[in-house]
Amino acid sequence: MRQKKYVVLKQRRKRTGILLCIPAFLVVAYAIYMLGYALVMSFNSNMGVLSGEYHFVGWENYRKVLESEEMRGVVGNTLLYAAATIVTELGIGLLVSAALRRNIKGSQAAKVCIMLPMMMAPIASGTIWRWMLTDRYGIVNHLLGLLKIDGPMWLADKLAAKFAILFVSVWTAAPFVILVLLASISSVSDDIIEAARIDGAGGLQVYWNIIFPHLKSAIAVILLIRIPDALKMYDIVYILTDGGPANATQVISFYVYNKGFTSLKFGEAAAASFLLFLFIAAFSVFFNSLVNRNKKKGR
Amino acid sequence: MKKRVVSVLLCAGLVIGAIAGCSGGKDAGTEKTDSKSSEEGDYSGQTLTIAVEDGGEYALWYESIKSEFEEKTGAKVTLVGANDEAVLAECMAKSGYYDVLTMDGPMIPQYASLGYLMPLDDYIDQEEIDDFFDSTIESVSWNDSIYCMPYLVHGPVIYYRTDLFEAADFDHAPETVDEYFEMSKALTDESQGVYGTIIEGKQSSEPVSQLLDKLSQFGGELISSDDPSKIAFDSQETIDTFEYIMKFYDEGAVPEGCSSYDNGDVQNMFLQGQLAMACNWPYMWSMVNDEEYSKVVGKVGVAPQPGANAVWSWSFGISPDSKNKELAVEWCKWSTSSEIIERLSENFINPAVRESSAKNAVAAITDEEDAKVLEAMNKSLEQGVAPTLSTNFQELRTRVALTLNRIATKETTDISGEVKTCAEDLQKILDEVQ
Repeated sequence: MRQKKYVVLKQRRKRTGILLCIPAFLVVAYAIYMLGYALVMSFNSNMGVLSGEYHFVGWENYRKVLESEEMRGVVGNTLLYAAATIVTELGIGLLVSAALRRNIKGSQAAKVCIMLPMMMAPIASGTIWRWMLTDRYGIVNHLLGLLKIDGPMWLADKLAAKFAILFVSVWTAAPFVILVLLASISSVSDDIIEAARIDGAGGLQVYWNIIFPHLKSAIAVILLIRIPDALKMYDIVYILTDGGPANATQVISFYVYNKGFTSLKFGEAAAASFLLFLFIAAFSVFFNSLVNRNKKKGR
Repeated sequence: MKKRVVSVLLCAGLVIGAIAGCSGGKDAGTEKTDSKSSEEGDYSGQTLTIAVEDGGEYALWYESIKSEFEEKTGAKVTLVGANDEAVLAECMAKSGYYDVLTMDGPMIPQYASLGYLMPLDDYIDQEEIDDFFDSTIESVSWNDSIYCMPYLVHGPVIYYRTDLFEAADFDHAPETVDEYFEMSKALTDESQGVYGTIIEGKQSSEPVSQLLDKLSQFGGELISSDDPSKIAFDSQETIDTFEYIMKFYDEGAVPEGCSSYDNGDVQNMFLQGQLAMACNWPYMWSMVNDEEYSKVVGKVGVAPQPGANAVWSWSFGISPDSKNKELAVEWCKWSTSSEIIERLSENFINPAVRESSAKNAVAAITDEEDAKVLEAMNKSLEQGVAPTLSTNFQELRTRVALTLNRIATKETTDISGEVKTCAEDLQKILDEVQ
């Protein structure tokens, strides 16, 4: 009798679970439909997309995208940008989360302030930074001038523009990294740390041998979320530099947007977009399997 | 049992909500009805949806007067702020969501060739068309058909600081390109944070408009007006234009970061009193006189650019997928009628696109300053050169923006080589649509 009740309860829970997942299935189905549509569009001629007809052109759009010199430059920019922004965000995140771990006076207020950039729409923060970074009347160069430092032409110089994009992007995304690391670092027991200190471990040793191993799964989550985000970045480039100066800050998403909405070559834009999707998907699968393998080794 | 019921209801609610969210979002009261009118001029129950520039000054003005059209026709008019991407998406989907589209001149050939605009020749009387200035009708035509009704045709003018000119003993605005350069240099005073002017160099479409002004001043063209299938960019006139522009950069007549500036920066700096001269659109006149934002109120004069400038249009066109075509035609006629254009011209101190409106608008403006400004803007139209367009003008403009920026940032100092390479790329782009 008890066994029967258990089975009935288990089946009921399973049904309830499936019912509650239906909205998620709808969202996933919608996403798959969009992906499929983009894939189909990538095999359509540019004029076909615009006229609402279908002219199958095979791999033509993919060939044009992969042979495009502009695309090659853009891919290089994007990978460099993604690597730089992730490394910087992680570095800042690790430092700040370690500092905020101890609930000293003012840490709560600091946490709130740190979260503020995350709450702003990227377009809004990009616009504000655009005005702040302008050389003639921007506040950044004005403050640098007070320190007797000659600020660069942030948006006119190629290297400075790249740094400007990197900085604004890190400013926008670092709060998320800090949040995740802070949550993970808070789970480290103070008793273990105290015990380590009693045994003579220094601050760096405590961090590397006790705290950092706890953060590995959090860092994995951050990388899994932030790397695709970084590869898809568009809004900050659009607001700050429009891909300039001289295409120095062009990234893949910007290239796709221009191909589609400026040049009206939606077939090629869809092909470039799908290639980006495949790259991100491949990375996600590879990274996930790496993390799972390490977890199994750890056990 | 209770938990199960709650779960099912919750799921059902989420599913319904998701489906409702995915359905076409029309506000209440904007449902389209059949376009047939029961009596002539009676469009009661119909709603006209017009795509306009989000937050644009002219859109706001039409919003403020649309009730007159609603009273006349019985229809409801909804002006929806929509960016280019939103309009393009609706056109590609043939949704007919927007009945009327606000068109920027360079987009008209592209939209017309793709069938996103309805030809209007059969709907507008010849008498009406004849009242428009020739250049305005040319700017909204493609392949000998009129596709839009223009409400604004304008070209950038020079805004100059009358106080700085007086202090420098300049008794007139620059009338030649050399004067423009010499005056810019003379009026630059870095110690006071004032520069002669700005020549926009950002890699963006807006600075290309300014470049085309300068190109027209040197007699150059982007697309040949004699043979629209040929790019005319690789010319001595183009090289002279870029060399002229670089004189400003090299001799300090413009701020150092000019190569990253666009229209917004020019407006900001001029309103803050950091520029002696600025080439900008006619609508900047109202910004200059806005005491809340401008530090140069009462110290600005307006003059046409030396010799020539490009002219561009804004107009209303009709989507062929509209379910309210007759009503849309009425809107196009009404919004560009002599009376409305006259009022628009008076309100914005903009040149009128119709001859009858132009005379009346000039007579109606009583403020001496405004009258002088309108005179300058009318002159800019008279000397205006409408650039030859193509169905992929946007793409051409994007490529020119790269060359402008490469030269302005001194990424390349070989101007003739860069112009040649650019022209070759432009010809390839233009050939794609031949």
